[in-house]
Amino acid sequence: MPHDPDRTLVLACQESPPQGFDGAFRELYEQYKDRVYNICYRITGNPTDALDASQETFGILFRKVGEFRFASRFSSWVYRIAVNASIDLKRRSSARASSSLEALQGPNGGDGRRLEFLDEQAELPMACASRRELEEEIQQAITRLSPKMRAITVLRYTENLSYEEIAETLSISLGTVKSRLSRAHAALDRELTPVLDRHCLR
Amino acid sequence: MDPRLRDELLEILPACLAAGEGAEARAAALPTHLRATLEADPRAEAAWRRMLAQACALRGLSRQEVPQDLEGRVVAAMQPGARQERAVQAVRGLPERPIPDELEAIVRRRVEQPFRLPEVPAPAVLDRLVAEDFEDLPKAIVGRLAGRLPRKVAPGALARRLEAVAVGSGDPPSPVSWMVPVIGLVATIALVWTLGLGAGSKQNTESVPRRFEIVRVDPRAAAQAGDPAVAFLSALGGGVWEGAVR
Repeated sequence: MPHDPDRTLVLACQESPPQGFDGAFRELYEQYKDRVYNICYRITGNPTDALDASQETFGILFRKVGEFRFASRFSSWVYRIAVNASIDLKRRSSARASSSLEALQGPNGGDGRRLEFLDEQAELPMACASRRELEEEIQQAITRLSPKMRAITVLRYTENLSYEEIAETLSISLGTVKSRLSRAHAALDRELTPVLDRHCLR
Repeated sequence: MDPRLRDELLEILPACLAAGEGAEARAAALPTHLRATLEADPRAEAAWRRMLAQACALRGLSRQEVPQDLEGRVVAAMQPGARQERAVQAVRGLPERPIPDELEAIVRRRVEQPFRLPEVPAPAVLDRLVAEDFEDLPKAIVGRLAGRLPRKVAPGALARRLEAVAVGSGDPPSPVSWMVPVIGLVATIALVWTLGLGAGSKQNTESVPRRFEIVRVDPRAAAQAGDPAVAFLSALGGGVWEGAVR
């Protein structure tokens, strides 16, 4: 196992007595909040569930970080918790089938940084609307994938993880990563190609 | 597309995306053998283009800004009891189940036709039991209780005894019945011995030879002789005599 870049930080979090949020854990939170939230957002498909899943992820991290023994990369462990929390939450909220106000407003209700940046660049309203619409449709295509394929797609293309990191995160073999990603692309081909064609992105 | 080719292309895909925006730059990032394969197979080349477009679209998704309230919620999640609170909230958030259409019909049927237990006739034995109680309550209770006592199993020894009776001619011989003549004999010997020894002690100096006489006493004959004789013999026989006569 190569040296884990988070080792020092994790060891600091494992110190007893725990220092609470303002100690090393805050540093860990700052380091992972963006990645955790985005994984949760892309898997759940809406900001409300993403917030809940992120909260759950960091709650689990806080309670379980003392038990982490570096059997895998710490980052893989964090991603795994985030993926599982998101899938669980998505399953529960699907059962509830309740639509929140944010969901009614669409998945991009909380504008992303990039969109704000584009706004500052005085992007034309039509282009901005088109981009939002495209993102929404891509997100819907992701949401229509099965949870396993959704997780692997998000880890590969929004978090840029390597095959090895994905295998470690999802506790599956490299062969399974390849076959699952291949099936995800086959599904995306059906879901996404019409969208991309419509937006002339091929 | 050949699965092996698809796996190879998927693995190289991020590197091709990183190579640049244009199709030429991306094609240049492909290994030679893959480029040759795609050039020779238009369907595979079209599939590769779609894969590139999908990956490009997914990568182009904007990063979502972390909401301000996440930090507060994480702090709350670190508090003891946070999980229980979340569980309670989750339960509270459960949607109300729609009332099934058939519920009204079921309730209406129950209201209009209230449920009644079927009437069961009293058993005939009840009359007799009540009559017995009125006649003599303690007797009736004892009789019923006695009837409920557990039945004992006959011991195996009883069967053996009955078998012996069946095989033999009459009553089994009592140990006392054969001991009586013997003890009577012994008692007689002792009596004679005592009398003879008493006489002998006087005549010891005269060197008179000792004599023994064995007398057999029939217990029934002794019994007919009267109670004193029986008592005497009984004393000699340690009480066995008396028992044998009776």
